Amino acid sequence: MTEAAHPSAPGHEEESHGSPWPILLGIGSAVGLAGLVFGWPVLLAGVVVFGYGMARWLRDDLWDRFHGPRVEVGAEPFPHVEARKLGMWIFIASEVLLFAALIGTYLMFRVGHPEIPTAADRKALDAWVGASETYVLLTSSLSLVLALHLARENRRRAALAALAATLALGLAFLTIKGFDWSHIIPGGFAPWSGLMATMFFTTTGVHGAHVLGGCLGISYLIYKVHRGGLLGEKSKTIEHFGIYWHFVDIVWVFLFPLFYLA
Amino acid sequence: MTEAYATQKPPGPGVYTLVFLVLIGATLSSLLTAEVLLAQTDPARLPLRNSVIFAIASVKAVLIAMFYMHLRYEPRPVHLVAVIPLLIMAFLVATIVPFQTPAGIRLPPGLP
Repeated sequence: MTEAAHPSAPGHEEESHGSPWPILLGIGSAVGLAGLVFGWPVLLAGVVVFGYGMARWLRDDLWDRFHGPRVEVGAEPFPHVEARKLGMWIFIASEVLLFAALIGTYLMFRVGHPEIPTAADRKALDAWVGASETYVLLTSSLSLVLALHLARENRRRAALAALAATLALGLAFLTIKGFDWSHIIPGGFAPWSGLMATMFFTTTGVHGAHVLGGCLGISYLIYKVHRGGLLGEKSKTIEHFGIYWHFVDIVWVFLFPLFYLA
Repeated sequence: MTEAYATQKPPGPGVYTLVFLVLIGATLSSLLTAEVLLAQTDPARLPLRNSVIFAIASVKAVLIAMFYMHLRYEPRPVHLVAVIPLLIMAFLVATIVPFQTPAGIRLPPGLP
């Protein structure tokens, strides 16, 4: 399905969802993960294959190669729910379980080891740093829902500005985290320096990777809106991305008190 | 199909901004609770302090899910997709966490 589908009749578009590129994403991730065991050349090969597949797939989407009617899940128990949105929610459900494992492990250590966090742990984890990261993420969620509203109303420039603000805030979150880590790791609170520190870096690291992935997603949305896409009825894509972004925000809403306050 | 089973119209900037202000206020109050009002000087106050800050976090999470993720405007079955993993998480935590001791997992006497 490399050719763009053309409408066969007014108001009745030919369907085309086919793309060969996602299989490269699968092969690339498999090779890349094997590279964690077999060494960096294998890892690099995986990253290259993954990147190439992703680039070609996004290119297909940018040139609007995918056509088709908006599909609703017609069957019980999900009548009148859009299929893509339901898929996003099921993905979020799997993400909840990923963070459930991390948070559950942390709670286990906290209950089993009443001595943590030690005074040194408390000193390393400054509540005001955690709070500022919280404020940045909450604000990015606001700017993203505003971007969705503006895109729905076909206000392209305003939607672009709101999306750019969301990206800037996501990057600001990662910057604060980078500065914080670069201070606390030389200060003795490093991933290898104890139970509390290991759990902190693992959990907030996985969360930070989600923010980074979200920033890449927003960059793509910005590019697409810049080209005049994702406006009006097509702004649904921004809404679906938002479900992911706000979920990452919710995770931080719990990580902040778990690590910085409790 | 009845109205209750369809996605409803999402809110506008007014609702979004109002929710944002509540989220900001809630974050500030949890920070004040933990660092000033119930600062960790007295161990006896720790359970109260932690209950308050996690209650505030839960309220924030519900607000984000309902208004920013538009869960409030989705039909009930979508709510189920969101809630079921939380139940699994609660099960995971409730079956493992309370039995932790510094020496490892210790089950209450009488269990096989």
